[in-house]
Amino acid sequence: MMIRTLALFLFVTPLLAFSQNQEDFSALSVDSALSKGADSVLRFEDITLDFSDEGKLKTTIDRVVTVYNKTGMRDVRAIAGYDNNSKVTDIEAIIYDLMGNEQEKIKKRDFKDYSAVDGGTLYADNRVLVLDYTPTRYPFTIRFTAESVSETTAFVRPWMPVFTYDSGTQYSKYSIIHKPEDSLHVKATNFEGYDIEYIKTPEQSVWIARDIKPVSYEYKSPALDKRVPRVKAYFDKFYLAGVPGVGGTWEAFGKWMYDDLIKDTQQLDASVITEVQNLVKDLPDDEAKVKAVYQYLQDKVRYISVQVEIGGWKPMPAADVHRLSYGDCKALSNYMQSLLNAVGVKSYYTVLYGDPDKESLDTDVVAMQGNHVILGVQLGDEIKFLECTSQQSPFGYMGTFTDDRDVLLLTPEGGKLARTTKYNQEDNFEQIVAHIELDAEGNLQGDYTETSKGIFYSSKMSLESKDQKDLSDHYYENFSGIKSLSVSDIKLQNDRDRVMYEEHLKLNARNYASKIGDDFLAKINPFSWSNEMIPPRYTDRKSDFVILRGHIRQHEITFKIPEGYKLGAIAEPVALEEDFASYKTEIHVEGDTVNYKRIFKLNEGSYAVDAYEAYRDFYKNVVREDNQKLFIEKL
Amino acid sequence: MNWYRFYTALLCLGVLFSVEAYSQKSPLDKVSEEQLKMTIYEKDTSAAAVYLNKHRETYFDYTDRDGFIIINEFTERIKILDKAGLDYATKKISSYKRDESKEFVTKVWGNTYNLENGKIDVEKLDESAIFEREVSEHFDETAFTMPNAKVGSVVEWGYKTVSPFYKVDDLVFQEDIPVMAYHATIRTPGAFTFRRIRRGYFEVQPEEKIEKRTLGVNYNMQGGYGTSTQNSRSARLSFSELVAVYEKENVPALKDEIFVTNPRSYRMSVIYELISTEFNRGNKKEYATTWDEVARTIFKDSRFGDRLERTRFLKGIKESIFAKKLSDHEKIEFILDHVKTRMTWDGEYGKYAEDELDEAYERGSGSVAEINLILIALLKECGFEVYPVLLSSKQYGIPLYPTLEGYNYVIAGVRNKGKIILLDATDKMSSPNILPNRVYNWTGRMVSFQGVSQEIDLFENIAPASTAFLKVSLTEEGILEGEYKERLSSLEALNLRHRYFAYDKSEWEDEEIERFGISEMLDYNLEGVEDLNIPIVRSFNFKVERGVDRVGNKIFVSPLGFLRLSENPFKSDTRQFPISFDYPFSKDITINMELPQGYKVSSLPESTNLGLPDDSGTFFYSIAENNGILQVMMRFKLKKHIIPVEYYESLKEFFKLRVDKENEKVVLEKV
Repeated sequence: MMIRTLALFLFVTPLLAFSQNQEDFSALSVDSALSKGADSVLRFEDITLDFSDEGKLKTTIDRVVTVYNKTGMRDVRAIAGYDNNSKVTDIEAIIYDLMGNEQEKIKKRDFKDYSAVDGGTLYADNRVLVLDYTPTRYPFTIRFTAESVSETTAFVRPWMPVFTYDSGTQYSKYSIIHKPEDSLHVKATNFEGYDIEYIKTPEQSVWIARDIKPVSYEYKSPALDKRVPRVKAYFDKFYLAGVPGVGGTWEAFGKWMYDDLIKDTQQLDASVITEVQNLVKDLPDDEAKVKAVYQYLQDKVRYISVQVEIGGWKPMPAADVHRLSYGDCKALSNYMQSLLNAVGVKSYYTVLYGDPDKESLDTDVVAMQGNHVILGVQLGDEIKFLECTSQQSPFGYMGTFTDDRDVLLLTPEGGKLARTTKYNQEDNFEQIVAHIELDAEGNLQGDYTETSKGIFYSSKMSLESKDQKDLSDHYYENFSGIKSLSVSDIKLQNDRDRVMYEEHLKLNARNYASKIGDDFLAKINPFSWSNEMIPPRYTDRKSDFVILRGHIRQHEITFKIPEGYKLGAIAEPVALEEDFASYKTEIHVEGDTVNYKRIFKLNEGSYAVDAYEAYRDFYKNVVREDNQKLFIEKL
Repeated sequence: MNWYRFYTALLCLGVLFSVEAYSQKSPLDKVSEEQLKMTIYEKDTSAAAVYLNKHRETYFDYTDRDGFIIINEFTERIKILDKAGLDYATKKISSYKRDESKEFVTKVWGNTYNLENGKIDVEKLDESAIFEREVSEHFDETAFTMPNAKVGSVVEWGYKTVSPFYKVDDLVFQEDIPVMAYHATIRTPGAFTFRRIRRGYFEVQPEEKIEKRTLGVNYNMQGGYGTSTQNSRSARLSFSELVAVYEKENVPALKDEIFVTNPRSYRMSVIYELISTEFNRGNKKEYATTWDEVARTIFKDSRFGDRLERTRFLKGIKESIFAKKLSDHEKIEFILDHVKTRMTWDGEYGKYAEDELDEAYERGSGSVAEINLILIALLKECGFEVYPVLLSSKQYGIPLYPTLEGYNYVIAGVRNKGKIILLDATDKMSSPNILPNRVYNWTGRMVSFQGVSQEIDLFENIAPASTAFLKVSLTEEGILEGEYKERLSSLEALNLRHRYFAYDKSEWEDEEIERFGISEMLDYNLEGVEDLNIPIVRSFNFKVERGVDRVGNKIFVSPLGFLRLSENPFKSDTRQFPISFDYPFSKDITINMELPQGYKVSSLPESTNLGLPDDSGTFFYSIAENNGILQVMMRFKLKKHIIPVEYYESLKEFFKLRVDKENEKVVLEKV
């Protein structure tokens, strides 16, 4: 008891020190080490999550931020969400000028009350209170306080003492209060090198961080979450919009999700069941059946987001999806599962993060996570994943939004962790084959074929929806290195079975070659990369760089020179090899034709910051080599 | 247009009209099997979906509470042709509200038609699938998505909107997908006179007639003087109205293009602009007829002219200005600076100051109107001859005819020694006559305090220019080294200031290195960047490692080096809309390049001189060698910032020739 009192006393002190001394609100008293290069400095933060009342979460936030410019406003986060199961009991903001004098107080009724629905969603009952304040001069300091109560305890908001890039932190405190019998599980990461205090009693856990210098975003740097301290926490029991849930292990957690959120939403009418059964009755194996049902799904439904039931966590019933032919990721995956149940193929509702940076579920934190749902189908020993919100995705194709990451499968027996399909370097293949010819006026014409596989496939899927003009404009943008280009006879071949995309077209470029007296100078590779491909320069880069997906990009070009001309000196082939990438060219002359081949390989991996300059130099060299020219002399 | 009139004797008694419910039946023919079998729209084979019908009926009614109300009945039918077209099976209707008045949406219905085994299957939109939500202070949204919509479906819906605002919504003929048949019947009572304005490039001729309309009217007579009995009475009310029927077939989809400030300006539509009302014979209320009239009407609005009267809060600052004993010019700069420092723009446009000026001044932030009316009030208070100048900002578009809605912005115009100086305090970097980009859209209109107005050429006093001078030496290894010096004036300087001050100072030089595409930069300096009233001189020493191509014993060098325009911004084969640049400008480059020892020039590009039609632009390039020094000159001038669409081919060719010329190489040969 003694310890607890003392601890509490300690906790209260910094706040008092802060608010008693008005000068502390002055931007002038910020340590320049924290404000250097910063858009904002978190001066003080005290977040308390109180779970001591069964089934309730009371959140109090007290945050003081000094803002140096417009961008710095994002760190203030003067916003509070609410819905049918939660309410904001108190919210206020106070603005202080440079000297720390109070300027303006913004009360709850002056906060803007908006529907928290993005453009992609038809309806959701979430709303937000947002501060409506136009800063008049910088720097200034703002204190934001809010208190809210919710019937959802499933999400223990993580501790993020550094919330955004380019923001320093002077003091951040995070407390979780709970009943002693509810044990709190914690995962703390990236504490090394930071001044962090941790105090734990049976009823509460408290973390305090002090003096964290701002961190900047850098091209291909690891995610912010992997660079600065974070605490994630969870309980074995929780409530989701008032519905009790159990966790502890992924197995138990998955079982609860399955039983409480999924199971009773999967009934389909007998006629629907008969319809899908008829659809697959003559098909030889499970894979063929699933393919047929997936095609049925893609033809029938479309993605529409409507978030209502249990805070948006329960899928719309399968029967409704069948009747309305639309739904969100949960509803559509669940509907697909119901259809597969009808034809006797086992599948799993799969929860994950949809994210181009391959964010995995944190497997150490048994709690509600993820922002997306797909369907895992058991085919023999293998699980194939289906994206049910896309009407275009080939069977089993994942793309950058869902590939290669940890996911949670819900099975009737309980939750299971799994990993989605990974695309390796040799899978991610882009090949350009061109046969081009120069005429005696220096004009170029030829055929072009581009083949895209693996991860390259996904960016091609949207081409089909373009009309002829948009499509030619697309190539004009892509081949911006070719002046006065015109393209024609565009043919697109989308091979969904082999997950391969082919583009065929004819090229024609006036004055492609520069005329020099009677001779010509011409780039051998019209599709060469330009300076824009070179990674940005940093005088003092801080972070490692990560290549999330390896790939191969190959060009094969035959270049025919006009009659009455001969080739001058020809560039030597090159081979560049680094840990992170390699590049190789081959050049052969056969009569009046130059055969050119170039292979660029990028290697997946995480590379130390020291290698970054070499990485840039590598690209610079690639751009130089790509732009080698032919000197074509008149005979 | 005073031959139809609304006889309003009854209205004076405080009659309550009940809104006569129109039939909910679709005004369209039945969906045909042929429409359901359609797989492609022949006139635009890439269309993801197409409006089979876009149908609208608009008429006026009267209620006791709101007075006149405008009712729209919309019916829309869309054929879905591919998966991307399914987006059009979702409808979102936003309705405006202000203070106590609000528009609302009612009587929503919808059907999805599919051809199932040769039979037409109809699925109704369920009431529970229609969602209403409050989006913001001024907008509500009604949203629904059609059940069972798939590729091949025909979806249709109808709804009614009721609005207490005297604004007939624009007739939008053109959508992002093609419209096969557009129909609108607009009935406007004789008491209202509208001007119809066409927007976009198209023809439409409404069929018009005058019709009598009779409303069955029920009204309650409140018993006066303490009696509580209510008398319900009914009456019939007749009046004439103008019926205009618009029909148009096969309206193409609106496509986006580069170098268009605002594609909305070209969307085919008809706008109804209220000119006057005459509820009682002889008592005509005019709204707007000419730009002069528009300016007068705006000036008379309580949120405009009146605001400029209450300026007591500026007395203190005025006295401190007078105490400084400044010249007129210094005074103007001081006042502008004061308002810019004091006030921060909250991002809102508008010609009317919604809040009192002293409130905004106290708060330190405000809309365009609030800030610039404060500026005007302070200048006036200090004895200057100053007037508001109304204009429409770039993102707002260019009005085609005089209309109240034509203006969305106001700046200050000071008459001083026979010249007009324009000022805008919403941009912290602006200075007299150098205003933020958003202002340079069209002409302005200066309104005097007596309500007389005059057109103002906003472009008259700007001459955005960049003049660069380079001294370079080229080594045998192909390295270019030298000094760069560039003078940027007017808007070119303003733009650079905007970029510079938005950047973290420690990252700025890196940004410049990337922008120029050079290898090294030393002694970088931006002279005058802090003083907003003078041009900026940007200078640095540079090194470019691989500035040339070497083949055998020849060196190929583009004389403009990293300053050359490497691609033609105009790549499309065709063009729909005029091409708009930010503003007219000129760009000059002069280079003296010292050639490496032991090399001689074996070929030089030819000098050239190009022009655009109508003298809209010129390009001049010359090159000469003298004692191992290359002298290069480039002069580019764009005299008009909007180039008509007919000149697209010329413009594209002009840029092509410019790009070709700037990329042409000088060939050096080893002696």
